[in-house]
Amino acid sequence: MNDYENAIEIKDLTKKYDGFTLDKVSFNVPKGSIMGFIGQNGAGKTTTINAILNIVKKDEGEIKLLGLDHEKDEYDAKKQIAAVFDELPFDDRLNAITIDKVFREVFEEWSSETFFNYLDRFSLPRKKKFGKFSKGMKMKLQIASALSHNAKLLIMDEATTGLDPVVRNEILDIFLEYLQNEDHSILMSSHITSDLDKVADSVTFIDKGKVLISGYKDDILYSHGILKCTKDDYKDIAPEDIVSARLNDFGAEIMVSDKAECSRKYSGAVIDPATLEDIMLFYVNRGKKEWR
Amino acid sequence: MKGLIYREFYLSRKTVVYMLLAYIIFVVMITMIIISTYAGNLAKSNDSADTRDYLLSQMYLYAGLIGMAGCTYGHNDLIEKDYKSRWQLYSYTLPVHEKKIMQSKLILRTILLALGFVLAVIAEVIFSAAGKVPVSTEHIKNILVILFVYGSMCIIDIPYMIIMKTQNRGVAFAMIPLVILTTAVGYGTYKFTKFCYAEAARLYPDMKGDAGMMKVAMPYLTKWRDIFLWAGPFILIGIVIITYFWGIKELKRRRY
Repeated sequence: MNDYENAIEIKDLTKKYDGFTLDKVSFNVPKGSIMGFIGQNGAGKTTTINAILNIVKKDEGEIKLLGLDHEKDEYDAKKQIAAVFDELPFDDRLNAITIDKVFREVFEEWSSETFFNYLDRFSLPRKKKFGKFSKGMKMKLQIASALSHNAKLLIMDEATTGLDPVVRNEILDIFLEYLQNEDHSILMSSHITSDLDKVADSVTFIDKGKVLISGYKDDILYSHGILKCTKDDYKDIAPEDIVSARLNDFGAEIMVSDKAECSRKYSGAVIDPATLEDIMLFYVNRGKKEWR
Repeated sequence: MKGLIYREFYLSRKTVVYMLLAYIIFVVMITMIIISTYAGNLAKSNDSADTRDYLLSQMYLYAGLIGMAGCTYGHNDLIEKDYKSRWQLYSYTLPVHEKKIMQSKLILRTILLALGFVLAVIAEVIFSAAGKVPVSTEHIKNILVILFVYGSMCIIDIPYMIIMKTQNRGVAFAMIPLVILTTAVGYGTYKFTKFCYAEAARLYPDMKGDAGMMKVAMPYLTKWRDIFLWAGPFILIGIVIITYFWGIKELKRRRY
């Protein structure tokens, strides 16, 4: 049994494509935690996840999964990993009973009992073909199969995208339940930041192939804030304090990355707490500095 | 690997069943026609013996083709469906080496092909019994030729489809060498037929129609077939080995 501190360790991960580069991406997912991996479409989330799963061959960098090298010990690592994608990767002609029979032979620790318990819990039929499942049912099925082989690490790529709030909530509850075991960890990529607000312990924000922020969610939310002021006051704000500013007819909303320092510096200014969505929005527009 | 084979079989089984049904209907119908040439309405016809000879000399080939193509067709287009359903991508997240994936595909394809071959032989046995003639070893040899030719194409189709991803694209690309090959074979056949007619005119001037030409052609065809029967197993085994390593390489190359 290998001992590890981080379920995922990524150091200087680089992958070059024509027109896009994943540039020295580094972050860790601590064991027993859930990390939200956020960024707009095309930011590099899926490429990073595919590199972690060794679906994409990295150009440079190191990736460790559960303390194991993701290439050298690929199959040992994958025995303990479950991947969940935004779409069900099973043929429409299959049903849950067949999937159980297939995975029973693929995963050493596959538990039919756990799988069928999840199906019952999600009210998923056993014999119905997947082609007749709704999107929510398909995602629940994927999660049921992901959680039925005693995986220690769950890697999810946009798993909650396209689901209604009720199903999303139900699925998030399952994740929290899964994390009750302190050996379990989750990396969850999403651009639905409200989901991560609810469940994530830490967050990594990627944009244009580069990691902009990575750390504990509470620290990130605590340090960032939205300073609201008039257009005249905006001119007095030091450029180094501004991530970016949203201007409107009445004034400006400025994202600051050191709320405490800015509170001292600009006493009297109103600094509202920022949500992950605000942070994402302001950071994505950081190149423009001012936007509407 | 058992799980992977099971999945592939499960997804191919319906096509196999439908084609099996077509095979059964074909064999039953031909058998009834053969029996009818001596014990039914066709027996009243003057050329009933010719009809029976014709059916016995040709129909086992069609039954063999239906059997072999029918058994493997459902598995042939599974790779395209795996790309569409994203299983191909998902399979990289499983603790399964590319070797196992290729082995599972090859094992099932070979089993289905062998099943097709057995069906072809069964059809020959049934037709022979219906025609009250012994099972022809010549016919079995011809079925083996079909097995080696079709089997090789069917097996090499696995890595080919991994590259092409869709049947349409695969067929479109295959048309280029196929057109060249067909033209070459067509031209060769034309030259050979012309040669046989010329020889028949010289050697058997009294024979009517194509009989003389066939008499000249048959020793050549039999000789070539027998040479191919020796080479066939080696070609098929060679194709299986190439397919295995090529398939693994292509599966690895899919990891962009």
